[in-house]
Amino acid sequence: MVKTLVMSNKRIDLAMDGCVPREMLSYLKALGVLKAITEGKDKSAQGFWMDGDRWVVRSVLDMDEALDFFMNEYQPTPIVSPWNKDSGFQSGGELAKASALNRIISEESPRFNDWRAVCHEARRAVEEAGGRFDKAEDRKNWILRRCRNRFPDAALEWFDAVFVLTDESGAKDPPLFGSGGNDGRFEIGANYVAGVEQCLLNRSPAQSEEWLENALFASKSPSVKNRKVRTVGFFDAEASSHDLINPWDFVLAMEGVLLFAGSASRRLGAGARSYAAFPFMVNSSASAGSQTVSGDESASKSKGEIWTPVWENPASFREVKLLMSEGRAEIGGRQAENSVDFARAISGLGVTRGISAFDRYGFLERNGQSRITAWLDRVPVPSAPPSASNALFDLDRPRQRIRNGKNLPASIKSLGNRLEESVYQFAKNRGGAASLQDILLRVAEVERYAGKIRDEEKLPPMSRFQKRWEREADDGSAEFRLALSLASIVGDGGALSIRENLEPVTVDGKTKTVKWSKEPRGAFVWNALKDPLLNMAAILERRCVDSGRLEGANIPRWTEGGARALNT
Amino acid sequence: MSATVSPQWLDTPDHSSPWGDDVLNLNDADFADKRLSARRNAVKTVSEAKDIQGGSGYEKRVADLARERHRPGTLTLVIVNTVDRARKVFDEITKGIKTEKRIVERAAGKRKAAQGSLLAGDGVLYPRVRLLHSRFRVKDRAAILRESALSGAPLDAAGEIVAATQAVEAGVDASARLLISEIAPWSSMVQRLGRCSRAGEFDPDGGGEFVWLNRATKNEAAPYELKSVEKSAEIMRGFEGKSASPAALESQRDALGEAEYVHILRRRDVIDAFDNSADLSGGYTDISRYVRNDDDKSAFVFWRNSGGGGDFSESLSGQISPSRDELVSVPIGDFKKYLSAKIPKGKTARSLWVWDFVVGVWKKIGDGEVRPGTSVMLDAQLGGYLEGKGWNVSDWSAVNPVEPERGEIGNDGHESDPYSVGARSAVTLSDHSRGVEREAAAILSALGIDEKYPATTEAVKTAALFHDVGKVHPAFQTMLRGGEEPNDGEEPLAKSGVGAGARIESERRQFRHEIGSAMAVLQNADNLAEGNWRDLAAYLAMSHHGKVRIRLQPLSRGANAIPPKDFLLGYGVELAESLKPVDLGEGLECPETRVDISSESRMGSADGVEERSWQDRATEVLERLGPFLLTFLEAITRAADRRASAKERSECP
Repeated sequence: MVKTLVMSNKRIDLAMDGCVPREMLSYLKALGVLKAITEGKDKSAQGFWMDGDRWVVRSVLDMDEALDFFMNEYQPTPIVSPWNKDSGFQSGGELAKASALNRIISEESPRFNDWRAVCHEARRAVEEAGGRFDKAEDRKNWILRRCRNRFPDAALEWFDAVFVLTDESGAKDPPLFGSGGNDGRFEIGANYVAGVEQCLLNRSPAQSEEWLENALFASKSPSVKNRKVRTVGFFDAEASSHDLINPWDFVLAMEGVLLFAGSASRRLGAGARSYAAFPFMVNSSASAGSQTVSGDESASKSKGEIWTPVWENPASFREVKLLMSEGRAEIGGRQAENSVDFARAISGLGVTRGISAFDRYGFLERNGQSRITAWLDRVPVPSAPPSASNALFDLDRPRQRIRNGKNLPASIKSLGNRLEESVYQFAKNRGGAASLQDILLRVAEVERYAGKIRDEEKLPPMSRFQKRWEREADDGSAEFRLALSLASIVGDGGALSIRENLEPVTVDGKTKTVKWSKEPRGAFVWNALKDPLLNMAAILERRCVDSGRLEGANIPRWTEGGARALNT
Repeated sequence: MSATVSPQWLDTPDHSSPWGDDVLNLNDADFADKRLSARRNAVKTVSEAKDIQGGSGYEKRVADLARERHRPGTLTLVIVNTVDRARKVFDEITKGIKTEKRIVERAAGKRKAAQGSLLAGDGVLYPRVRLLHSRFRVKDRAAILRESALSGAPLDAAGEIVAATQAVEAGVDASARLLISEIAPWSSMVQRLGRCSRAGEFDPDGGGEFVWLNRATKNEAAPYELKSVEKSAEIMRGFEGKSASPAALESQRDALGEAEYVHILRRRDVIDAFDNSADLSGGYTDISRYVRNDDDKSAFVFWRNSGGGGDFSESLSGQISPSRDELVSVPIGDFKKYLSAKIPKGKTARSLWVWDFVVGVWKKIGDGEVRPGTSVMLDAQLGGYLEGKGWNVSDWSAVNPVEPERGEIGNDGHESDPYSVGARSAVTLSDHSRGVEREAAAILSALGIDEKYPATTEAVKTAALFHDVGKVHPAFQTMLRGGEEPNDGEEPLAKSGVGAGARIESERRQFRHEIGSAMAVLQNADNLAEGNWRDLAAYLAMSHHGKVRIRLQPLSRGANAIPPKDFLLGYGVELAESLKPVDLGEGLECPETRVDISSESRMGSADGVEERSWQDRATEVLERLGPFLLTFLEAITRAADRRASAKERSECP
């Protein structure tokens, strides 16, 4: 099998079929490989997803040289978490892992220079913390702060990937790595140390190389015979948690994880909620677009999402770092905070230029223990924003009210989810009149149920939509024109707005302010259980009755959006 | 040498604590110096005011103590730990003196009547009383200091009593005979002791007096941590009745304790923070945790006349950015109090205004949106400040605004270019380019950079020469000419004259001419070899306004808007644009320049081409030079531009 595809400028495009998208582990491994090669071999190395699917590294290395580099030169980033019980630094923790660590730091090889310095600081931190704290939490916070302040530079990325130190409440965990580098009760750092030992200090280098070849090029059938390195749910939704894994897969993926360390501008950004500090991580909004979640959802709790960028032009590691440190997903002047808005940010081109798509993964917590990461969707970046994108801002406030509303009936909450889903589909499928009409239908559903509680505070009637909805949602059908014609009976000249017949609302004739009506049945005659035609007849009847005192103004002979039966 | 720094604090991962010859200590000859020994051995007798306890009337008791023990002709300093208490102590001292005066005058009046003489009572002297804390406008605070003995103003026969907060701990070179202080962490106590009989001035009269008030209890320690003030109180008790001279304090250096590790700025953080794109596009990076170690976050306020209506509706756009003199530092939490204060009759609701840099307008914000370090504009008619007292949310009397310095520029926004339209008369592009190059050369030469680093010098000078080439873009020239397209053969301008200048055509909003300039360097600066040096020069041209640096990306159009897809920072995305050749003076012409904003702004290099994106180039320059050197060169380029522009203004008729 020929892996070398193109030779350009003495640089070699090396396709790495061991790294496939739509799998978290593989994605991270791809980033890790680029990081390692850039830092250890070729500063101008580039990486890209060919056709969005195949990871290619463009560098001076061919296949054999790449294998040789990782086997003999690659210096694994030191990753230790002395704040954890089983990290190998705390007394009473699991000692087997400490022996792997001891082996690594007693190696003469310069490959592990950084490790010695990091372990020295880690030990000092734990020793000096000693017994001077009454509360375990205070002790942990002291060690964390101490590590952030004193760790050698090489070990800081790991720290910033698993914690953000806040001014107010000490440390916060991102959703990514369980709590501070623990997956359930499983210590990730120690597992990595075991992996490094298996890969680089293996008594059988041939075995390690076989694993490596498999990890990078998927060339041999995986024969994972190591007894030490296990996977974590974060990397792999399929494997049941803590299955054995190819140690190279784990080690390289951990290198990739470091790119998700929160950058200073994010950590110090306004608010610095724990999610916002980390790139491309958002709250999941209900179940929008995620019907594909594998496993039993009932037992899983969503802990947020991560959206990983896919790019097709060769990019240097510098550029990838910049991309990650910014984690741009902007919509209407703010960063996307949930999955629906992330999809909107993508469709509104509020992401770094040059990204062709995002893979969307959900973090799910199982039984309060370990977490899994499931691939949910791929959302391509369009070449132009859907034309109606700006209309959707009208829904921001009502959507937010429904999402955050504490005491709303479950029916409205669940219709709110359907609305979220329709907005998500609109963004993902590049808009279109049908998609926008679908959103309008969902809005109407919510509105109908909101009309039952009529709570101005919790959920006022939807109003003040921009005119552009009329234009953008028009699919040219007779039904739409008919609907538009009816909807544009807005109640000029003393007449009632037709909304007052359709819903329990009052519309101020002058300001057009819409409020829930205080009396349940005034002009409101629509009955959802009846045939629409009968309903329309009832409306006409009602308006005729009313029109006596309104001097006929209540029966419109003309509306702004009038429909004719001509060109059907 | 500082009494309040422990050498061990200097020990960080990037810098191990100095030792051996790296530490400069005082030697015997130094100690023998009279001036030094007078300071080191200055007598400051310590006593605890045990009979003054907290609770109601506390401030009056402190005030009475200050008045009673004050000696005419000297300075008495009272330092308390909160602004509120400082104000109360000040009021009580003032009140006490007034009462005393009245009693004395009444007594004198009786005596006068009895003796028919004017003599009695005239001999009584009343000290001046002043209040000083951090919640004053910079200008007002400076005025108070100027008149006070705190800044060396001569004392009259009565002397002066100052009620202050820790604001006087540092940077005030005053010497009080009597210093009354609440307990504070040890390093603060050392600072405060330093303000008592500073140079031993009072040694002939028995030395300085340092009276401290114990507030080391759970409820009274704030804003300090109980532990740290307890420790400090313990040390102070050890000095009871003795002198806490600097020499005596040296033995207490250990009490400064281990550095409290809170947040250390790491290399990684510095490099991250170099890229300010997030802030440029409306984000906000709060670095205060690295600047100050207390938890109080504060912002600044300043007052302007709204011209009626209370909400600046009439005069909003006319408000220029505040000068330092106008600002008062205010805790973030006070904004809520300011807004929710009960509205008196005849006043309207208060509001907060900040400058939105991205959109270029003043915008109204809620108290929850105030970010540390920002400047917030308040309506002068709606109060919040008392002359002589400082920031005060419950006062509604009109504030007399400090006249802002009338600089030549207005507010800077992302889309504005005040330096291009603010000149007195038009300046051609070639004149301005050469002018900036000359200024850059002068700065480089004054700093001795030109001789030592010829390649860097060439890069900076090239950046200076090319920095405005992008202004040749027809959209910009039309803008400079007040909306009229330039005629053929008309020389391109760098600056418009008075009154000229219009808004740039709407689809080119956010147009940044620096992008064209940087591309011109990359493509046409043949004096520099392609690669490193040319990239550096291009970066310096790109960053000369500080608005486009590492990333080329669309800026937010504010809430609820998606930026148009066809233009990015004012350049067409679909098709590369080209800039006409530019005459750079002295016979040099910059040939046509291509601006392909689409591929420059994209991550990754275009397929099959070895072209690099702007961000790849810029981050490489940063990696190579590091943040400090690069910032330094940015500053030189920027300063050269400012200086040349200033000269253009002054040389104009």
